[in-house]
Amino acid sequence: MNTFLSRFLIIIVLFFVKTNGFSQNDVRAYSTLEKHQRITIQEDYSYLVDIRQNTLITDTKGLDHGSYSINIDQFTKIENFEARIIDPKSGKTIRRIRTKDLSDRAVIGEGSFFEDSRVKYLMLENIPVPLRVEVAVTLKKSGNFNLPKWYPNSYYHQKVSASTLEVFYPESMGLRYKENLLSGISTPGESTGWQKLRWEAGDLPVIEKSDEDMDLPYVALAPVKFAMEGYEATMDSWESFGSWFNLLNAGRDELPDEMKNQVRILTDGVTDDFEKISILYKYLQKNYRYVSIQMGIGGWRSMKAADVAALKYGDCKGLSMLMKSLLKEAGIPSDYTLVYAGDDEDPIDVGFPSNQFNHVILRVPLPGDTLWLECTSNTLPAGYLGSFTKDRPVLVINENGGLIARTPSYSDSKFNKRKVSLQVDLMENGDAKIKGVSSYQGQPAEIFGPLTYQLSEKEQKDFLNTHLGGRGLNLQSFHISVGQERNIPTAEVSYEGLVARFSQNTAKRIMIPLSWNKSPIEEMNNESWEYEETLEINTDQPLVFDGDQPSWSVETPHYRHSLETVQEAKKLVIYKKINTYLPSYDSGVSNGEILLGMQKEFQKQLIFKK
Amino acid sequence: MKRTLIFTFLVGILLEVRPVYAQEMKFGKYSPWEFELTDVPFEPGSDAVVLEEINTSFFSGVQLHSEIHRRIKVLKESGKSHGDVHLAYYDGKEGIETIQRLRAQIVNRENGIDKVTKLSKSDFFEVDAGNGHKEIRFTFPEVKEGSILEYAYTKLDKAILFVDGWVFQNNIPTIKSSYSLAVPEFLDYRMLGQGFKVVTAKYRIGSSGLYRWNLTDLRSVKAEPYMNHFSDYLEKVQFQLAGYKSQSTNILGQTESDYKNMFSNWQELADFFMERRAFASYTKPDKNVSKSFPVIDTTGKNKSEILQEYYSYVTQNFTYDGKGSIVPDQSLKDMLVNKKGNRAEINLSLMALLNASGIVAHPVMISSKGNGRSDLVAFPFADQFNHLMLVVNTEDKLHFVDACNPDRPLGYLPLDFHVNEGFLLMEKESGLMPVKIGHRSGINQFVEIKSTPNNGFISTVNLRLMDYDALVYGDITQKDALESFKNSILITPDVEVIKFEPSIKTISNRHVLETSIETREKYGEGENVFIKPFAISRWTENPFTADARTFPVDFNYTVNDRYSANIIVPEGYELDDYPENISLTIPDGTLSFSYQTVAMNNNVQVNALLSVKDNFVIAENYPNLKYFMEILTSKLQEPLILQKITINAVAEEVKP
Repeated sequence: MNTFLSRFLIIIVLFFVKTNGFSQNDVRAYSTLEKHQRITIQEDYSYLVDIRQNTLITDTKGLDHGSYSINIDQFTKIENFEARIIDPKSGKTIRRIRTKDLSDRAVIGEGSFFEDSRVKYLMLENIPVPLRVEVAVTLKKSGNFNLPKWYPNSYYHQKVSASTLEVFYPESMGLRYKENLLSGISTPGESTGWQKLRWEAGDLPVIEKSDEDMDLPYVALAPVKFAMEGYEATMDSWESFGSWFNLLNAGRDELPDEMKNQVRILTDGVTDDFEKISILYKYLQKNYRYVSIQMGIGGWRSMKAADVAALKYGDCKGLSMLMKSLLKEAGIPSDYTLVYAGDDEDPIDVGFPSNQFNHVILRVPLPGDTLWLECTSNTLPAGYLGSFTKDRPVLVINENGGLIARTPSYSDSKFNKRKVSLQVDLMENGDAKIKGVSSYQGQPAEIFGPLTYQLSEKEQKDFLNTHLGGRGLNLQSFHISVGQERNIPTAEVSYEGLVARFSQNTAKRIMIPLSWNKSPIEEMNNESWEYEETLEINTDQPLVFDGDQPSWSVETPHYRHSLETVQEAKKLVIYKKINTYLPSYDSGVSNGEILLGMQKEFQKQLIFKK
Repeated sequence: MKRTLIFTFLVGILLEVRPVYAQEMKFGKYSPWEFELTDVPFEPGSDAVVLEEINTSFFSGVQLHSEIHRRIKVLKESGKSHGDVHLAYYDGKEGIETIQRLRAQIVNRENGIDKVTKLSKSDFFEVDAGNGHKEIRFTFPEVKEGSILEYAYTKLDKAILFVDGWVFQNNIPTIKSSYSLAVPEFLDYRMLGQGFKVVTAKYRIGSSGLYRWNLTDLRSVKAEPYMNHFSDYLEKVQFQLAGYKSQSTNILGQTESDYKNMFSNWQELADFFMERRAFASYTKPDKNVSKSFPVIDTTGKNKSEILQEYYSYVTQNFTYDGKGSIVPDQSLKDMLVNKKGNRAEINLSLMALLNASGIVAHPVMISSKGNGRSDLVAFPFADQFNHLMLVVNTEDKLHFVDACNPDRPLGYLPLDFHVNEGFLLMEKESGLMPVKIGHRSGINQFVEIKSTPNNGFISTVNLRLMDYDALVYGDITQKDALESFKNSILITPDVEVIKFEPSIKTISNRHVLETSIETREKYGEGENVFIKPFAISRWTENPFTADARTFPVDFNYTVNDRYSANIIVPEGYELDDYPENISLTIPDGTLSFSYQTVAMNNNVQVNALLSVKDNFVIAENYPNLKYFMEILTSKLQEPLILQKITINAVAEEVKP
């Protein structure tokens, strides 16, 4: 067998063994891609990315497959760009595009005010298909902090006939990688002291949008030795990766004298560390605002605390740095901490030290307790993280470098409490006057901080009309008070109003929902919950149950709930209690299914004879 | 909107007409009341307020200069975010708009002393937003409760055919907003105002070309449910050039004056669009291009059928690129090759094909809902349109056609195209025409409920969604659309679905999504059985929860729903109780609802009718609408109650 064929077979076998995440399908391909990418890492920490790709577009719907974009920032330079649009039938070049012909626009991430990133792009529009787009691009990156992740696939509805990645690097610099559904081949490079890595994939199944959750092949790269703008470190452990941030941020926590005095004024006479933290955190929240301006290495390095103090604004790095400095001045050490934030984001890959973060928070280790501070929030209590960063691995930067820790999950019931007391004066036509107090603790209370901070009174009222009770609520007056119990957010809402059709009336009966108040069961997404409700219904005439007066107490391994009804002359009082002990989110068990039985019980109606 | 640079040919005009007013807000000079203000009387609880904003616009040569000055006060901590400012402008490729002389400062009064911080050039960031659009962004330092933020700049605009004018409202309340435009003697403009305060103000100053508005106490604008966009209701003013004078010197050295009308009638405006080369390629196709038209066999077909053929051809073979447009960029020749284009290009391609087949079709420009002006003004104001569709005359009927969505059958338009009028473009007699879109949307639901052995019920439902109510669900032959439709229909828990068979039909030229549903559920062994006649309804919960409303409610289309249920009372049971009959309407008569139960022998018939006769409900009627919806949604949830017949009861019944 000739050597070419034997090599080809090995690659094919490897690929099909490794790509068992795919199922063969018959998704229509709009284009076919052949792509070869080469990354060459230099000893001065710069690296070159060479890409050569041919895209044959056979369907108008795949015209954007021939488009190309390059993200440019202070560390990225286009060494060469050339694209040719070719008529595949005649082989004639229809259009030739060079760097100067590319369109250009700013790229500013969501929530960011300004960034110096740009995108240069080629957009194909109104060109008849079939056509072939040949692209050759060379980019020079001046630092190797970020190495690109490689996916053989580029678009939905695209067939990949061949895609390769080759990485050349000096052995002395080192390189790490993580493969998914692919296996690379490592060989010595052509020059002494150089190493070469190669991955190859071909004839991949065509995927469509509904396959977006499919496990796709990729290769993630990360350096061992790295540097940006002269700041050098290694990335082969979280410890050494973290020390780079120490290097980058050295001396940036210095406070001006005026701020040092401010810390003294605020904390003089306060002995308890938590109280000091709380005072300084509230000072930060009241006087500073989040503004994200990212330029150059400022994308990773914090603003100086003194600059944030002067401007009264900063991004997550700057505000965290200022808070760290304030705490330091108050004699409380804290750690700058990197996190991948987001409500439903996948956790970082703890086994692959690399740049996987998009946000900074602060860790405050106290004797017997560890507090976490979200310094961009104007409303959270000191020591409480919202859902944006809770319950995930983070990289704590301390004097020894980096250290993986985990943020709290707030699964204890003290973080998940709600208590409702409601008085209802029911009228003959089913409408009702209501008066109630709802108190919230922990996660259910989180929403009320931003609500009272950001919304006008009318908007708050509209929110409560929708979210406080069930149908038909029209609030006449309300009061929201937001507080905290140590680091746990609390809120209390007292209100009065009218409810249209609180009860449903048939010719002979009155039906009252057992859970007019918004069911807490839908919110019970954490392991432990406590819910209590007292509902007092006053009527002109005594209510007579149609059937037995309901009452129950149910206990299962995952929850306990009870209902008690007490009837007096013209008053009916309903007591409800729910406690849950659910499996953790990581267990894979569906809490929704566990709670379904209980939910049905509380969706019932109380039936009375007229 | 991409704007066109014109009038570089105006000669000899270097005059500058600039209005000067007394008591103008001066940069950096503050009044005591501005520091004292802590709340906005007409919108309490606001986190920030525009204290005053002024736009003084005048012409210098053939450039429009707009000197804009805005002053904002932060009233609450949450108002600090107003310290981030974005100034957008359209640069194009030729510097059509530019921003100059930007100044910004913040003042904080601390212990009676004003601390002023000025921003420097390095604080202003230029952002290229792509496609010629740019922004200048800056953020104020030291923003806190009580801060007064102020900035001023000059915006130069070379495109003077359409003057953007001024929007007097902001996303925070505005205490005072002033706009003036000084039009020189050699230019004439038509004014287009919107909003009660704008149109009722005395805005013409004498007989000169000076317009000025000083509006006060303007509420903030925020989106509300069941509306397309609040921009349709903003207080704003725009201008369009109506004519201009020019001077030139003839060969004898004499000065000659000329006056040219611009868009003095609808035909001139139509000609302005239709004389563009790309546009003309569709209205008067080149013979060689016509030869490349697709060949569709129309033998024996009437004009409506031919229209259907071409509509199907275009929707199936041409791809809409998502860009709404009133003019084509590419020619018909290119469109026939590329088969992808903007809305104007696709619809004009269809027009060219129809015209070639002897069917009369014309372009119609509209201002879709949410474009800032869904009611057109009665004079030829070009800047009010944002989409181009067709009107096609098949002799038996006028059809309004948009061929941009293959899932939308002929005869239907996007919901935001349901406007009152459009601008018909023809070679002669162009003008406004009413847009009438015939449909009878609604939900028809026929339910039969009967018992099964083992204490169960089987419900057989024939559900017909008609016209726009059917189109909402898209192409249900696609997996995702079918799943979404099924989930929205089958919402009752504890019900076993035996049959769910949807099909798309055309019944009397109407698009119908008909579904046969069969479900089974247990009713237990208690004394009473509760039956909800209708598992499906247009609204299961009241969609209106806010207690007040600023803008009208727009349902987008009228509907008539008919729900009918026949319940066969199982043996051993009798009808004991049922929802009370009701008939209600809101005072302006736009919505009505009735619910009636009739029991005969062992049959119970329940009928409900819902009618939305007008898609608009004015804000003043909102409380009635909200209460109407509460009763409607509650009533449709009320059950019938069947009671087990006891032996004693039976014995009593048979007593003589």
